[in-house]
Amino acid sequence: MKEQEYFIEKFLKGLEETPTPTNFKPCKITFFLSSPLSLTHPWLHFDGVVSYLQMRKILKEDFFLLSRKTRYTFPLHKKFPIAYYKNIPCASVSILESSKYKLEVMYKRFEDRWAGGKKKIYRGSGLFRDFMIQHLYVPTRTVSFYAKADLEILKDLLRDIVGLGDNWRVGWGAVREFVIEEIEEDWSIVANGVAMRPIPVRFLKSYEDYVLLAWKSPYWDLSNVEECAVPGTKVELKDE
Amino acid sequence: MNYSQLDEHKEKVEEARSIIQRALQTCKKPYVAFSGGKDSLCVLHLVSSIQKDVFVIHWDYGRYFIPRELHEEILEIAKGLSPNVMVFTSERYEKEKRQAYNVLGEEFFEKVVPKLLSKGFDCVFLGLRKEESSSRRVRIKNKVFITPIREIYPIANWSWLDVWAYIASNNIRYLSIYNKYGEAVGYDRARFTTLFDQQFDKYGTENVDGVLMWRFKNTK
Repeated sequence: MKEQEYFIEKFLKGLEETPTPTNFKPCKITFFLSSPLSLTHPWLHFDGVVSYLQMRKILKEDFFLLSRKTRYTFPLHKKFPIAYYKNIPCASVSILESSKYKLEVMYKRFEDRWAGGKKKIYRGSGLFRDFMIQHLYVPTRTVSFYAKADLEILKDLLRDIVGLGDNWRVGWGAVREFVIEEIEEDWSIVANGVAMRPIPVRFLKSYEDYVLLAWKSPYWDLSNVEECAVPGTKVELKDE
Repeated sequence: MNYSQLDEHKEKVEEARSIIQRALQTCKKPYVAFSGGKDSLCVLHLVSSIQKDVFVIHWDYGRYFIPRELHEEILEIAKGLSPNVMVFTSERYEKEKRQAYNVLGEEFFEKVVPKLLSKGFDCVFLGLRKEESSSRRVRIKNKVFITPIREIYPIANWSWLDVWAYIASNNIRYLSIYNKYGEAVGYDRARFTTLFDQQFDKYGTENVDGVLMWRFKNTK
């Protein structure tokens, strides 16, 4: 069996065991952090976070064996706990307490114990390469999102979350707890005439500002990049 | 009192001026290598205050590494300081997009520099500073010229504070991107390099560019 087929089969099998979302409700999700949030982009996408968690839950340990070079087509949308509006996931970008960025520099240096008995190693390139990595962080205590989701399934998925943002594996953006509140109005895509996430301009009647942005997960995939209205700017959705 | 009023800074500016004056007496046809960054800006301002029509050479890294509005800003600044601005680039930037690697080394040093030599350019003013890195310190100390053109380093002994003090005290127009980066990473660390360039990935500059220059990330 080919590698790609193995993962797809595993995913489909896992998907069968996944509960089917039925009752989508507008909600606000607030994460309380115990360390600052490291970012590589001005905002986080909630559907991206949920996609990641669902992939991990379905593939289990095999998730970590996925190749970076292979393009997989997992039908993630089939049982996605977040609703869609014309293919747009009903999930906002992150809302932070502060927008002040601060710089942090992390160093990765060679340590003897990883040399495996080798007498000579290269630190300029290869496995033992030294790194000096800069990243920006935001000292925020909470990260909020708006979504339209199946709250029970969402709660179950979010229990697995350890951290948000970049570098969470080394302690940044550590999630202490989260709260899901049901709200009356759906603010996941547009709230009071303001875009809450990247929205492709083809879905809009009018917009204030647009940029080439990814609008669905995986957000690193360039094929998901399109001219989108910028979160936080005024927009008007096309009529149904 | 601010730093630009201190003797320490004034001495460094005087030292830079005397290096430039000595070089101009011995060079037939010098030029200033202007990237648009704060260091080459100081050098260009210093040189052009002595020789108004000095040649300025700028290497354009293409629209995938430098947003066009920033490129326009660089040219405006250069033209504001000298009437003789020459811009070189390579077609490889359009062909290879963000995969372009070491184009400057292969195209500028191997193709443009021989042309400059044939046009009689014999000396270049560079904005290298010892403080920047140990390799630059060694390069300046040993006068390791990477092309057959003689290199002059007027601000070799300047610190980042000298650079900003010179810019502020002379009210020189600098690239607007510095304000954006300076606020987030500090003016001591703010550097102007190609954006989203895999060449600088090991320094994590893409992480910072992704936050501050997110509009430019998905340029097609």
